[in-house]
Amino acid sequence: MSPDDAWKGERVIAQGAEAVLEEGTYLGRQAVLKLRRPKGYRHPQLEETIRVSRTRAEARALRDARSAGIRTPAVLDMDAEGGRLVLEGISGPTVRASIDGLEEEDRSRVAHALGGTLGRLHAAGLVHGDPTTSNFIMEDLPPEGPVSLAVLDISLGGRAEGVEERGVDLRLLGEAFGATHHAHQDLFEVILEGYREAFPDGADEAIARMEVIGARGRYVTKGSREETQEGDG
Amino acid sequence: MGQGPVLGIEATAHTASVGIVQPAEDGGVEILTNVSASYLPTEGGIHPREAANHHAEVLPRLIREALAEASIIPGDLEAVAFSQGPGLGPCLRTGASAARALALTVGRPLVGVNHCVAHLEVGRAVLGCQDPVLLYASGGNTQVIAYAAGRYRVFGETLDIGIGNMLDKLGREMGLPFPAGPTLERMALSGERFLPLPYSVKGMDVAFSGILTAALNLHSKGEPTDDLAMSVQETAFAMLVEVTERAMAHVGRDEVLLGGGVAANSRLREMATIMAGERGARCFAPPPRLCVDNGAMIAVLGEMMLDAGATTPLEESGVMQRFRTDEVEVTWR
Repeated sequence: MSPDDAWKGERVIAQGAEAVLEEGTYLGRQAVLKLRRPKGYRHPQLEETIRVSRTRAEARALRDARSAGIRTPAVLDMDAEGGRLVLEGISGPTVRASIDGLEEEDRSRVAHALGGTLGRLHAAGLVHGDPTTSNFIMEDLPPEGPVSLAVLDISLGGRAEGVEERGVDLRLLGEAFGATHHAHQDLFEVILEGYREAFPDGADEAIARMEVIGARGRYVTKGSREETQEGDG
Repeated sequence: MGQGPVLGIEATAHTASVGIVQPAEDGGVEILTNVSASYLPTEGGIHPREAANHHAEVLPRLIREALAEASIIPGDLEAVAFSQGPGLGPCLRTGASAARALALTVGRPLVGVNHCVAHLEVGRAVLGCQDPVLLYASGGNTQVIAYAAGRYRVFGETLDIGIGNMLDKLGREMGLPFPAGPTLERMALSGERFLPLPYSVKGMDVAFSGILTAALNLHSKGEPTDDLAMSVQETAFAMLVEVTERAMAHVGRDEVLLGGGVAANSRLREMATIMAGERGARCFAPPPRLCVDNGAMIAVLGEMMLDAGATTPLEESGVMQRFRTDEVEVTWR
């Protein structure tokens, strides 16, 4: 059965950069349609490749993460050529929307969970690819104990066990967290703590790589990487 | 805005440039003049010392020309602004020395400005966008920047080389003159066959070394240069536009502003315009002369900072080669 027959859309809930998210039902069950519309700015050949491969990669990564015990939406149906994925609906605010308004202690627990969730993904041999706080959902906030976060939008990541990919993931999280929640930048330490606990075997190496990548990508004098560079004159 | 004209000196890389702006009656700024001279290496890339020598030679002349074109005398200036960083050390120091000498001569304050922020502010001042996401694509810099809580913050950037560096390195192998961008742009118009190249986007960051390696390989295998130029542009620019769109969605902005020398490319401008249109946003692309490194943008930001009282005492006017966009406390908006 194609998603067209079983899917009944109700309303658009988000228009991201990557896709349009629509709420509705799939075979009578609450669900979300993630539709990657063709981007007019991309060369048609590039467009086709990116849309199909990202749709497939996302479905695969969501399944892999689920089988590693990480909370992600179940994939109910897929039409890769059409750029359509039907996903289980997950309700709750994004970490992005909620973290700044939390009490200090809860904020710290959520930050810890953010790092922990990324650590569990990495420990399972996956990377996220776009770990901004918009892509983590707080399904509920128990009065005490660990917070569980659901992970969305793994389409830029997938199976990768290299220290470089993990370092990039961490750097992206740090960069996005610092830029979006600048009042709470110090919480990145708590994020890393959660990350270390969830991924004891590889965390230190990945964190070290994150720092190297930071120094590399940040502005290092124009042209200095390969051109002749003299010292201070 | 301040009361009188501000002169801006730009010397961060291969271009030395002097611009003069003055407050306009509508509250914006008016660019009186913007004169430049570029150091073009006879072969290879920029040699910082040679570029700095070039700038030292041309800056006095450019300052005279700018004043003459704006029909003002040095004593009319309210302040002298200069690129304090980031950039190549020897070039920066040459520009800063010229600025100090002029400021001391006329007895006016110095305003040290961040080069990357100037690319953004010139767009806001001239094109009238309010709160854009800036795609800043030049030789050494590739950043996606937006304003948040008192600072311009970098939401995405290149993880390896700047897009312009990538184009220049490819151009050099193809035997094209520096900078290679404009020639590659012309060649791309005749490209017909799309050659797949690595598409490397990580969140809001990009990487270009994969494209460069693959393109050099295809070149050595004898693929037509026009096809190669087209494919490199299509792939690299799509990456830039994608991360810009992601940043817009992330920070909730509906304006995109282009800056940097690579933003003078018509195809990149077209792609950014299509992206903006498809998401109900607007694309602002300054004229190419204000996209490339130029003195007018330094003067524009200098004027804004002067108005906010953010002048630079002589003892703090040292250059900062690694001056980060988000180090600047934005007091003028």
